[in-house]
Amino acid sequence: MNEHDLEDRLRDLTDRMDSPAVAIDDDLGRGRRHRTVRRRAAIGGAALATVAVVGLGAAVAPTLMSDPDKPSGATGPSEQAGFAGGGGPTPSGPEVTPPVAEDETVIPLSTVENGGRKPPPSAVDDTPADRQLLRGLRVAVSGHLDPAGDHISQAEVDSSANGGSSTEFAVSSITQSLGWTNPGEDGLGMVTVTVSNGFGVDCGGVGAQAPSTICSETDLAGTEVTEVEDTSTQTTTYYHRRADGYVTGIALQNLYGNETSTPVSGIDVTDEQLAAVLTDPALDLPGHPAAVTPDVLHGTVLRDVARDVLGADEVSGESWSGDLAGYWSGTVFGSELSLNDGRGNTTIDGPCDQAYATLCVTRETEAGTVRIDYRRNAAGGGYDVTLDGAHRAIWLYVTDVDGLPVDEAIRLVTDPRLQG
Amino acid sequence: MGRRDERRDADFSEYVASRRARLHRTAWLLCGDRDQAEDIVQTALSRVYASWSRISRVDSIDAYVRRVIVTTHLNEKRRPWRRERAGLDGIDAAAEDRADPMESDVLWTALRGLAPGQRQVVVLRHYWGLSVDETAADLGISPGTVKSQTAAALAHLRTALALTSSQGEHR
Repeated sequence: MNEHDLEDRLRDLTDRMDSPAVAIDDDLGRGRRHRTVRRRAAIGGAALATVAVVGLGAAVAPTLMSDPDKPSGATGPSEQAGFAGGGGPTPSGPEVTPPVAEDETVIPLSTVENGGRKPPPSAVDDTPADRQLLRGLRVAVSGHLDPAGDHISQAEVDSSANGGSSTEFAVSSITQSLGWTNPGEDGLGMVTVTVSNGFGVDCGGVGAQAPSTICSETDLAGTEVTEVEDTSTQTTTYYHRRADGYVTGIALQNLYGNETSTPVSGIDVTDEQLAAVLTDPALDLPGHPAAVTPDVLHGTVLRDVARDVLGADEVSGESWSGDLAGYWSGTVFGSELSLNDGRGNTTIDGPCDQAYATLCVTRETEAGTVRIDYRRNAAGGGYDVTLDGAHRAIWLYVTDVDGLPVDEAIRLVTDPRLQG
Repeated sequence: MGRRDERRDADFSEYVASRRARLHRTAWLLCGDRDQAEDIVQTALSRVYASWSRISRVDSIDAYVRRVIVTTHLNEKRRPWRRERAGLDGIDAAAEDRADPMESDVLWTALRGLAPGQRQVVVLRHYWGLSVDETAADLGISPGTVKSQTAAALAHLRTALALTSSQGEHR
C-alpha cells in the first residue's frame, strides 16, 4: 500500500463515519458561554495554589466537575474503550496485585472522599501580616472587578496563605477567594486571585503540564499572560509574571463549589479589568523575594534518558517541544510509556483509591520517595511510578506490567539527570 | 448584540457549517471513539469562538483547530488515573454500549494499532493532506520526526492489512 492508496482508503473510511448532526446554534451557544465565562477557572484556588508548590514537585488534586457542555450520553475519558485512554483497549483479564517487597510500604486502599475533589483550603495563618495581605488582595479584586460593590461580598468567604520551602527553592504564595453574586440570582460564583514568588508561568511550567489542560501564551488587553485552560472543566486561568518577578494569577468560576450547588449565570468582567488585577502592584508579598524559575525538562531529555537507561534499541517514541515540553511518550518491550517532569500533575501524597488501583506502595530510594500504583483494568491497567525528587516530581505510566519491570521503571524515574 | 458580535457569529457559523463533519472525523480517527470525538470538537470550537477575532486575523483557523484537537486528545491520553473520575456524583454518566460500525473495517482496526504519534501523523498528512512541514508545525515536532513516523506508520499498516488479507484467504 502506498501513500496514495492510504489516502483513498482513508477517504472511503471517513465517508462512512456518521458524524452527529449538531445544530450550529449549539456550537454558537457553547462558544458564547465559553467566551463570557472563559475566566471562570474551575481550578480556582487549587490551581492557583499550584503556583506555589509546583517547583517542589508537589501537586494539587484537581477540582473535578462535570462538563455542562458535554453531549448527553457522552462518556468521561476514563470510560472510553479503545486507544483513547492509553494506547490500547481497556485491559481484560485478572487484576494485577503483585507481591509487596520488603522495602515497600503499602498505602491502604480507600475511597476518595468528597467525590475526589480537593478539600477546602486550610484556614489562613492568623497573623496580622497575613490578614493585611489578604485584605489587600480583596480590596484590589473588588476595586478592579466590582467598583460599584454589586457583586463581591465584603465578607471574607475563604482564604488561605501558604508558604513552602525546599533545599534550593523557596516558594510563598497567598491566595484569596471571594464569592461573586449577580443581582436577582441565587447562585454564587468565585473569584480567586493569587500572588506568588514562585515558579514560571510559561507553557512549560505551572499548571500547563497537568493533564487535560491546554496552554497558550497570549495577551489580555495588552498584558502578556499565560492562559491555561482545563478542558475537563471548560475553564481558564490567567497567569502573569510581573517585571518584579512575582507571579499573579486570576480565575473566575461560575460555581463556588465549596459553598453552593447553584452557579451564577456568568461573571461579566472585561479583559481590561482582569489585566488591571494582574498588574496591580498592591498584589505583593513583602519579605518573600521572587524565586528562581527552574528549567523545564525538554522532551528530548526525557527521551534520551529513557533510551540510556532502558536501552536505545528498545525505546522508540515521540518527544515534544514548545508548550508540550516536559513530556515524552514511547514504547519499550511492547509497553507504552508516558514520562513527564510531573509539573502540576503528580503527587505521592494522595490516597490509594480502590476504585482505580489494586495496590499502592511507596519505596525509599536515594533519589527520594517513589510511589507505585498498580492500576485496575478499568483505569487502563499497568502501573504509575512517581518520584518525589529533590527538584521536581517525575511521573511515569507504564501500560503493561509485564512489558517493563517495576525496578527498571524506578531506575528510570530516579535517574539524576531528570533532577538536573 | 453589537455589529461586531453579529459578524463574529456569522463568520463562525459559516466556518462550522463547512468544517464540522471533517473535524469530527479527524477527532474520531485520533481518539477512536465517536462520543469522545464529539467532546473534543466541542472543546475545540468553543476555544475557536472565544479566540475568533485573534485567530481569524493572524492564524489559519484550520491549523488552530487541528492543533486544539490534537492537544485535547493528547491531554486526555496523558491523563493519570488519579484525575479520572467519570460518572462523578451521578453526573456525566456512561453512554450505553453500542456497536461500533467501524469495527469491521480492516483499515480502522489497523489504525487503532498505531502508536498515537503515528496515528496523528497519518491523520494530518493523509486525511488532511498536509505537507511534512505543515504537519510538523501542527504537532510541534520536527519534519524529520514526521517523516520517520510516517514511514513507521505505513510499514505497520502494510503489515496489518496484509495479515488481515492473508487470514481472509485462508478461511
